Amino acid sequence: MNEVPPSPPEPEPTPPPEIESAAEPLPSSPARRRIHETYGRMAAHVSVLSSAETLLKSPGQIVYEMQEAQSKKLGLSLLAMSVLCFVGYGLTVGMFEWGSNLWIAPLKVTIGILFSAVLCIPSLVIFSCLSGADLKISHILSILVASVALTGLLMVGFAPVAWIFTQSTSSVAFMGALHLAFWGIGMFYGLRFLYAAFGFLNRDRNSHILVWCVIFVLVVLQMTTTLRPILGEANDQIMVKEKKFFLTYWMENLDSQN
Amino acid sequence: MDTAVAKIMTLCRGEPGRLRSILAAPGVWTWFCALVIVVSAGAYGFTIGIWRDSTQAFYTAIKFPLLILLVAAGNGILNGMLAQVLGLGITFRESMTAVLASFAIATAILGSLSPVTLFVAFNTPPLGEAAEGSSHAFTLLMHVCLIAFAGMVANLRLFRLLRSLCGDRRLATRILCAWLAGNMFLGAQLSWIMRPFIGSPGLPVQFFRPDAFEGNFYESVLNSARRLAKPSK
Repeated sequence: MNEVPPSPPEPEPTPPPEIESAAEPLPSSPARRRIHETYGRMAAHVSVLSSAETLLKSPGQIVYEMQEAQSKKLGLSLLAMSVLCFVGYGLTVGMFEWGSNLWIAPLKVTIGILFSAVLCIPSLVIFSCLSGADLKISHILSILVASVALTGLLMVGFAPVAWIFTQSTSSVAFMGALHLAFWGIGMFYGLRFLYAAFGFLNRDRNSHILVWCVIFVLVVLQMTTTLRPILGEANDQIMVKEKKFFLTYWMENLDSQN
Repeated sequence: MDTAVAKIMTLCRGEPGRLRSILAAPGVWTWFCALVIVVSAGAYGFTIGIWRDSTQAFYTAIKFPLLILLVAAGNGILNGMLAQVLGLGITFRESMTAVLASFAIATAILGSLSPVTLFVAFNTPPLGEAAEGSSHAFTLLMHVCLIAFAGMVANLRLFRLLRSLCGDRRLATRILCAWLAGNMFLGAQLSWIMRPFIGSPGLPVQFFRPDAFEGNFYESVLNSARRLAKPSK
């Protein structure tokens, strides 16, 4: 009666697959816990290529990785990828005029996007809090970096198409519109990623993030005019001192083409 | 520094439970909210005035936080009384902290936008160019929109706090409307006295206009309405 059959030895619990936060069983904040439960680690070792692939195929994993594990390493690799992508796309822009534009255009495109992002960091932090995000500043920054990297990645995807047109037209207005369209598509997907990431992590409505996206787009558009001329003849001028709003500048360009 | 940022983030999240606990022990938070207003509104004020002149930027960096603090201080007793009369049993200090917290949220939003508004100011065609009139109008419109947005968000946070304090939506709405009416009435007159903030292109840079205490905001609006109704020949 007393001889209770010994229960079969319990299989040794397998450790969770290399989650670095194992010392801290579950993340303290609800948002991080949710992301911890939904996504897994990136399969491959973090490199620029693997992070690019994951960013395109499974952006949720990037958010997980940034929040939970190798935030700094992945963040840096995404930042490096953004710089490479914008320099690559800038080269295509510079090939319209060749000469000094070959180094000026990549520099302006890269600095323009990154400086716009830096200008908008304080407002992103505050607006994400207004949306109820329970995140550290470093996590908010990592989402922004991933969003900018996705924009850059998509723009570099358009670079061959842009190059073909660069070689076959001399119209600054047409090329300007084409680059803006490619930038718009890249930006749309980049900001969609950012919006979705905050939507997943926030508790409240995401409308404040939407307002921030509009502000960011306007800042980048104005940056294209501040750093002019990016496309077309530089006339020995790296920057034009005259202050203008981007819509005025575009209209003037269109008028001069007509 | 990190704690200060974390506190601002807590304010902006506006969780009613957390804000209620702030009201329960208002001491440090009252001063912290005042500090946020001074720093954030100061930074934003600088970007309001910088289009006109650097001196105007410094003047507005002083005047803008001063305006907000004076509105909160001037209406502190009235707001406390209104809350009690309308049926919310909070102390004067608690009502003062609640109003200051909402002003701090609004100024934190504006302060966070100040790098962007500074960038816009440096890209706006300056004084002396043909487009100076439209530049002034654009600057005015942009700041009005941003301040309205920040004010709206802050008041929604204040409403959430009031609702959680009294547990009644209608009472919370009544108290918020009463507070808003008082703050807007005093705020409009104080901003009239403290003008210029941006600085009109045709007028000199001044801390106060010489006629700051002649007439008032409401008389000026009435006179403008009269002029519209009876245009001079």
